[in-house]
Amino acid sequence: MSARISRRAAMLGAGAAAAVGVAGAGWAFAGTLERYVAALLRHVLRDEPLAPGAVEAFAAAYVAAATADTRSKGAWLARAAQLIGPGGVDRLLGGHPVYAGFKAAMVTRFLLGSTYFQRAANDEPVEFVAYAITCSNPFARLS
Amino acid sequence: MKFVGAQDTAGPWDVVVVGSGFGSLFFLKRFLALRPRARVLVLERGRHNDAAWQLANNANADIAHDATFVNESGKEWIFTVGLGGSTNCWWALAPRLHPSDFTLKSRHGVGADWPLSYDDLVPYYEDAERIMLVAGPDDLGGVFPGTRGYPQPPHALSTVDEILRRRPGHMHHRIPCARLTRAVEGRGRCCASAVCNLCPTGAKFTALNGLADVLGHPGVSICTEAEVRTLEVAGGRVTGAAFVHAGRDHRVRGDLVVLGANAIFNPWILMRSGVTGGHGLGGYFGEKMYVHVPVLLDGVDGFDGGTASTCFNLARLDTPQRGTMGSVVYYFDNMVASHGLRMTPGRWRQIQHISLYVEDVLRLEDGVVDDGGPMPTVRHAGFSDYAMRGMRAAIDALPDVLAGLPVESVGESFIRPAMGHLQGTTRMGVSAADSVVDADLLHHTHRNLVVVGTSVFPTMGSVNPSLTAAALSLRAAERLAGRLT
Repeated sequence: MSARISRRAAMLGAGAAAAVGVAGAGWAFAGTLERYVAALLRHVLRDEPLAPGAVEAFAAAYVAAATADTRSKGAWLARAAQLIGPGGVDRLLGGHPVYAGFKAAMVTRFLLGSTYFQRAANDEPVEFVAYAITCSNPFARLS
Repeated sequence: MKFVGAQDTAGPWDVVVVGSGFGSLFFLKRFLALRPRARVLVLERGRHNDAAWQLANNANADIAHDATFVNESGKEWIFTVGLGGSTNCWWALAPRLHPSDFTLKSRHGVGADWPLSYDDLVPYYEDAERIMLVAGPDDLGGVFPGTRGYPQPPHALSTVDEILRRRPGHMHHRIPCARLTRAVEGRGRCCASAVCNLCPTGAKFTALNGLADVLGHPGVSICTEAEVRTLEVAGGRVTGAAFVHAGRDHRVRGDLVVLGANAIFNPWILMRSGVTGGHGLGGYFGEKMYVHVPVLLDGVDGFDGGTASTCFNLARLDTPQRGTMGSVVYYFDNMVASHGLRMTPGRWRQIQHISLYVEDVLRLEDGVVDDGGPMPTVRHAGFSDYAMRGMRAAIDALPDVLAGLPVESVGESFIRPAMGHLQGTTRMGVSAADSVVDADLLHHTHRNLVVVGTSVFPTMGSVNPSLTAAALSLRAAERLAGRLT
């Protein structure tokens, strides 16, 4: 096992934002966080049978519930994705813990708020149900 | 609760309390039990945002904490500005400090010694655990002496916990936490959603659900939106407080003043009041380092524990190297929504998130200053090499900590922006030569002034501080009330 950490890693947020700073081209600002979230979900879940409109509905709910900090940082990712696509952003920043944390938390929100873990068969379409914040650990053993 | 307008606060009061978090309300809990006829005024800067309001607004308060001070530290500091203080936003992990945390200087040559011992606090730890209805195991007495079981049974282990606890001599213990495993009247049990700052079931202890008897005591009046900026002082005693409410100045008189604003505002109010006696006022400010470590598993599913964090590994709670590096506790998290699943389709749950709580030394030069403006200014030079060495050693020790668990790899760690464990700035000690308050939390030079909360901690250890703040307040109130009668 190995793990790496440095003082640099403590520069939370700044690293992720700076790494995508190349995405400053004016036309890239047309990218929105909502579209980026939907595109990233489709990229991560590209082998899953997503129901039509499922990721778009989630993305709208996600952005509506996002904190100002998430919106600010996410906006930079959205702009970068306009240039190089969500897969490109993923390859560029995939090893950065702040980006990895954002991606994991967002994708997890979608999976927990969808039928993904409740489907009877893996080829059933994944429907978005609700943006669940509370009581959202279906795996917990409570007794 | 009896809320009063600012115009009705003049007094005189037996006790004026500034702030309404752990330190203040646990002090009142014991003080009112011993002096039930006392007339008490609580001055709270924030508003009363009840649990329903907090859930509906996805926030603990409607006042942004980071707009209340000038931050020149380059680091975030988290707290709640509202009735109940940080009992609202805390995550309810409630371990005791370790006995060695009280004698860091004499045992390891760094930091400071507390003017009281772990044993002095044991009965008050027990009281605080009862009041908070802490859920925990009955086998922690070997690490935290005097621990004899908890009011509520512990939360269910995760599969990872079960594997790690099979090893003989393991240090993988259940975490005591103030989240219910059994529902009580008006409060549900923990649902393991891991959104504990906004507990949706009422399982988490807060002042609003667990100290309602204090806030609703017939002798207690509460004035919210009351921003205390100075204490009134005359003849070496504190005679009251001055506060601003809706843009107007008000003054209150009291025989005893309890200062429980927090580690940023306690020293600032004292400085502005000219109560500057005692060593280190405003200094020795800091908090633990909060490090996140993702561990990828091979064939074992995570996230099935019964609450947000189920166990902690205590192997590095007090090492022989503590003179040169901070102690560390490994918290095994079960927070699926906030930490996230593994981003490997088909192996979503094969990950264990671990949080390292890393001790740092409190330095005189880190702290709060009064530059004459309307808010305190916070300066902090960042985590010391002592903490960095502790963190690196803890990561190097992961193979031992995780022995027996099928680990695929350990991901890149990172330091989170803040932990919400602000400590120091009015530390306790033996005399004014080394501290601001004594072991009974009484100010060294103004003997009717009590300073409560984590601002009095001389060292931080590597576990959560709230239970200790509560225990210190219970003890201080008991000793003070005993002297007054």
